[in-house]
Amino acid sequence: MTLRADQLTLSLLPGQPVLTDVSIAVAPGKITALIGQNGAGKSTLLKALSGELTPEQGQVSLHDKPIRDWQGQDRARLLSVLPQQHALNFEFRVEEVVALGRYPHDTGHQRDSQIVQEALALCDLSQFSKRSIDDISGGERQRVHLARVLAQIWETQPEGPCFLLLDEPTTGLDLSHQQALFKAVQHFARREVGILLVVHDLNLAARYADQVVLLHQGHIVEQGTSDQVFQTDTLQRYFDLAVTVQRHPRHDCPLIIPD
Amino acid sequence: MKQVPAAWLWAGLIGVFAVTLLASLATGPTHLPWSGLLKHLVTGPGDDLQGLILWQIRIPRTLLALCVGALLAVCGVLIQGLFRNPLAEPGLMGVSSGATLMVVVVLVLASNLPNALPVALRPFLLPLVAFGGGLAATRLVMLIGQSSHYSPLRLILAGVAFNMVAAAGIGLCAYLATNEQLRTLTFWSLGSFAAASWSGVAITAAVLAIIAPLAYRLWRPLNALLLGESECRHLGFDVPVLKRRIVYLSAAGVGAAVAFTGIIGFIGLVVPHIVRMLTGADHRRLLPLSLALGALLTLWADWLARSVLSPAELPVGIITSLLGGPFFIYLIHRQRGRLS
Repeated sequence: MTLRADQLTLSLLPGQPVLTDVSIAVAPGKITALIGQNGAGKSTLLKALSGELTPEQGQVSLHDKPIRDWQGQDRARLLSVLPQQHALNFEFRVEEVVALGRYPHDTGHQRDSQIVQEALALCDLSQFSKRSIDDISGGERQRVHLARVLAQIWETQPEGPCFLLLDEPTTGLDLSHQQALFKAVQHFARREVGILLVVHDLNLAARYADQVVLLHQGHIVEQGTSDQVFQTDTLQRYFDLAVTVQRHPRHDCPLIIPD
Repeated sequence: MKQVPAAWLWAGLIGVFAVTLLASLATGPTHLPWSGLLKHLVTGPGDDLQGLILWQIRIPRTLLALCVGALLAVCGVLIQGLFRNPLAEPGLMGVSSGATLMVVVVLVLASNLPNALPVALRPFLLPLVAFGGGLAATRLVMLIGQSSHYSPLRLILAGVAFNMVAAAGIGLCAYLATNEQLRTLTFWSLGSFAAASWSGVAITAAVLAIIAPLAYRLWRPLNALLLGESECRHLGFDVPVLKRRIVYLSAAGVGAAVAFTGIIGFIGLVVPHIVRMLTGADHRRLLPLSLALGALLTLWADWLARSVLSPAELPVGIITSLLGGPFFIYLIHRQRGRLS
């Protein structure tokens, strides 16, 4: 009962594969961090896992059923995706944007409004609920979209655990809201939601991820716990950067310091 | 801007509607006194001149203006939703010019075609031709504007290009047309309700009765589409099917409107905007309120067209463009930050 990709090969342009023979499983109740340099294929892998891109080879399955065979609404109840960029050219109120996350569900107006308010509170947005999305800052807008994708998988479903794919969710967030985001994500992981997130801040990945997957030029080159993946020579080789890896003084995880 | 509760808007709209309807029925080259107007409204046309004017000219004209205005505004909402761009309108996408081009081609180059059809089918010829033209234009523009994603900018540029070619085609037909045909052409390109008939009312009302509920059923996917196509898909909607539905609905709506009244610009652009400024972008409110406001504004425009130079009348498209143009400039100015 997972979201998994088996031996994916996918090209955006003919003959230039962005992903080659990639296999990954997003386990329920775990946080998986997808790391790698710009252009490594992280967002493409996320799009393949969500069924948005179809691989030439290999298969993506959700609860043992090919992702393509899922009916749109059924899939959307189990799988929620936060893309990297948001383009909303129209004036919506903050709570209306979050309510979009309830569209796949038939839980009724009252329950949906309750979930929207809870999701707004979790993302520290209650005071903005009636504001126009145009009248808040970029970081606040990012949190609105996070609240929307969380509202989409707020309740457990009879078909099995839900999954949450986040593409660079910390973009534009200040330090305290970055921490708050990961705390919210942990909260959902405890409710058996499987989470995969693309993240550039390796220390956030080291502290919060149960599993780290390192993607390099379309290949998975390392996969394991943060202690296994965050080795000095690995990071130097794949990030082209001299780093020192120490133990975090207060948390039981590695601390990565660029030299 | 502070949003106005939808219920207030509805109450205001209904009040203004009643007054405008009566004003529209009373206005024209022949003055209809209120007492006669109300009497004939209740008792039917009877056999005097006032009754005939009311029932054969004024009522069909008023109803046609209402239906066409409603259709144009609803199609404007759909097209702006499809392109996720508040400055899109059916005209910009080539729907109106495609419909007009086909109608003009039939009028000028195939002027005997209506005679070849059974009498009962003749009223349906131009609406069908306009619908076909609108649909073909939209499909063509989508095909030209297609890239790996439907980029709104590419599509609008494709629409601009198509509009130029259509304008050339319409110009060519005008060059080849006889004097009599030229007058008909002017009617098409400037828009008018002067030729309103009960058969026109019946067809546009039927198209509106079909399109309006179908469009309203799309309010959720239309809201989701405003987030972007990927997000719309992630929320469980089938984006290609949704886009096809929007294209067909707006081609049918604009086609039917253009067929009976010619091109009436800016209603499809301005009305959704005014409603959005008042109640926000949620399509659940936007679609029905735009329908009502579109009908009302078009009726006002027609009333103005008949009143300004009374007893002569202006083509209504001139009035809507004259008022809509400056409003469009205001919108571009207001949204400068967001469109960049």
